[in-house]
Amino acid sequence: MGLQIRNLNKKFNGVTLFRDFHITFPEDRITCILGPSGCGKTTLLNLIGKTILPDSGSLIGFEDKLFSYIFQDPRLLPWKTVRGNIEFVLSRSMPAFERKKQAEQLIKLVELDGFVDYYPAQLSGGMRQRVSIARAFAAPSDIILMDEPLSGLDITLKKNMIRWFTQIWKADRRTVIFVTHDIDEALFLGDEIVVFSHPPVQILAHESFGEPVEKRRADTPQFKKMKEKLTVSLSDRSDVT
Amino acid sequence: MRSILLLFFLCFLLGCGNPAKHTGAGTTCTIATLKGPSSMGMIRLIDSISRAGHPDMKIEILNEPMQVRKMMLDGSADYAILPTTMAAILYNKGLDYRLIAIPVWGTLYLFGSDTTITRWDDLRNKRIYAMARGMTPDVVFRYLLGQNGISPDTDITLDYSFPTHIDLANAVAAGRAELAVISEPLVSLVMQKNKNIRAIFDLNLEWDRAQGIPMAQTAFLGSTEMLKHPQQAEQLISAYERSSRWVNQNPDSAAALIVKYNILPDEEVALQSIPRSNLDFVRAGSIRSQIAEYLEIFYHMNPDIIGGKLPDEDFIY
Amino acid sequence: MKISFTKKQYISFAAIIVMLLIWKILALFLDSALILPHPEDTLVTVVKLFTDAGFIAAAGTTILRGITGFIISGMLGMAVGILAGISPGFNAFITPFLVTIRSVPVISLILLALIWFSPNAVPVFIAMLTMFPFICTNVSDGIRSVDPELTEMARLYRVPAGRIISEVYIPAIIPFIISGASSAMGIGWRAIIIGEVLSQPYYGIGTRMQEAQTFLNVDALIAWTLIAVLISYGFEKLIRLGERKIVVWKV
Repeated sequence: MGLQIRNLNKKFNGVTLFRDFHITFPEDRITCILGPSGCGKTTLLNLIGKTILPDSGSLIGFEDKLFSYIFQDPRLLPWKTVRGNIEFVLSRSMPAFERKKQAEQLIKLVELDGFVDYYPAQLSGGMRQRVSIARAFAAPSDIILMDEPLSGLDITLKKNMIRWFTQIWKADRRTVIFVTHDIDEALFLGDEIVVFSHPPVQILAHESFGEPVEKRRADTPQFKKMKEKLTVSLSDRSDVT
Repeated sequence: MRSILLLFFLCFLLGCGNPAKHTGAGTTCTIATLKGPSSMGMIRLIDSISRAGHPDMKIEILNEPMQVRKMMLDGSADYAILPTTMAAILYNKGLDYRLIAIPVWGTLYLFGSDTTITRWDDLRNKRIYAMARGMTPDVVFRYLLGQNGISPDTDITLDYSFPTHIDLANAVAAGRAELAVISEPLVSLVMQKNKNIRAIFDLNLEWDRAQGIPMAQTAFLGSTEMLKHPQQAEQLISAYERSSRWVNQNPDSAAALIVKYNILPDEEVALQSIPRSNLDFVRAGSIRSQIAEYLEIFYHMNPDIIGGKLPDEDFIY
Repeated sequence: MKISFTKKQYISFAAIIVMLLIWKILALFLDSALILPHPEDTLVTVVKLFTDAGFIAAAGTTILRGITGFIISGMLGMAVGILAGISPGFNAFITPFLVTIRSVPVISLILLALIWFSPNAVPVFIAMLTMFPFICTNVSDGIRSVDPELTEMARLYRVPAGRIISEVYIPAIIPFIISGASSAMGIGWRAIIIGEVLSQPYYGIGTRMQEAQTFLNVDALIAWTLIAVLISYGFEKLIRLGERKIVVWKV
């Protein structure tokens, strides 16, 4: 049951990233992997997304799963409209009117109804992000993978991304796994937060955030307590058992 | 659209054009002639000028009629020899040269390696090479084709890909062009190089047959400036006349001179070429109607060939 | 009905007027219709040529040759360019060929083509050969400049290869194709006309130019030149127009 990785071994560039590593991901929740740079978070994401293979180990529950991706930059096709970009990831076996309907549904959810036929060049940075989020949810996927989705963004864009992501996710609630090294990012988006150590990776902490993600506020006591906990865990340089 | 109309209006405002003027000749008397029958007929004159070392007389022997034309356009030629059709164009365009005589009559042949051609009809569906559209070999050939019931545009293919006489001659010698319209002395030259080439139709004969008169192909012209001094002019003119007669009467000595002045590479070819070149210096004044008829034929084919209109009387000296 | 001109159009218009004035002054100075006819005479000749029976045949055939050469070199250029863009090995292989073709003087190509091809084919061959390297190079540059992040996104989203080509690669390289086409056109038209002058096909602007020279119709020669310029300009404008219609996503 659920999504599990068992006995994972992976070496990368001579560095042993994972040795007999286990981790479980609850479905229909947003799991955040929080860890320092270079600890193998991205590698794990790639292993899950099947763009690279483990040296050994098993990924259970991931076999038939389809994935969507949300990147840092929106990665929209400049020559397609908002609608076109979303329809791009939909399968051609779906009839055209169906695709159109799907796209428009998502566009409505991110409140870009009036911009359906606009080109990315005509949209603001924040709007483009919304489209990329909508696209991720439009694709018929079971799991959404995000790699440091907020790093490099300014405050406004960060807030924008968090807002629209959570808004659309609460209507959808599919499994999300994302990685970051930023504690705030983890706190704003993650239901389950798993802290990684330096390689070979150990799970230093696993916290569950009770509060639903759409209601998170930085000033609540729960938020602040979590933040403290995580900060401590992260600074724990125990990378050897 | 409005900008184009404004443009037209402004141009008309700027007035009409001016008539062309002839730039006068220099102090040396320059004769521009062609490397071929034209200089062959002149060879004695060339020899005597060269031996006497006249400082004020110069003979330029050029490869292509266009080069002679250039010298007439910029006024550096006082006397010139080039195809009669070209002469007519220049006169009609306002250049001040008058026609003194016809020194060379038809020199054109259809020749090649194709042995199947015996009658004009055999030419149907063949590819025949000529030098340039609109020049004498082309227009003469077209006329004769028409006379023999063949349409130059639909029944045969006329190919002008070879840019000069010499290229065309080489192509025939190399066997790449099977049928070509070309002038002496290249005919004799090529036939000597390649024994498989033969002269298929003597276009001059054909013309005579069709017209009843021979082809007044090449013209000897003098600038109006020069002709203002009739005595000096007459000296040159009669010298040329005598030279032409002499060549026909003394072909061996003439051949030697022709080789000496690099018109042709060897005497054998020269001897073959002289009779084929139809050298006969006839003063234009005595054959006015013949010249007029010659030009008229082309006028009816396409007025542009002789410059848009028939030249008036003053054309002939 | 009021027609308004932009400032830029006024300046271009003024430039044309200046060109005509210079022409007129030179013509007056040289005072020979055989060296430089007056602009108004030439313009009259241009109009006469338009109404002349053979005009559509001559100009039309030249234009057809240009379009044919363009289409062939376009398709070939795209195919080779795409391959060169995708495979560095192929690119290294094809580059010496392209450099050679580009460097050989057009006239050498024409003189060789005259030996190999019939008069009607020579201009098309030349146009093709001169335009092909431009299109090819532009396309391969375009392919290489396709944002790898976009192609990665498409791959991760499992978009099938065929659609990646048609919906990611091709639109990405369209601006490159267009700029390649536009440069190619300019060269191509000139090459066709020279080709025609030398090969003298039955119908063609180059043929008429050669004829004008033989018949010493200098004004016709200049008139045909103007027509050739207009054709070249017209097609370039067409491409620019096409660009604006197709590349609607740029702001």
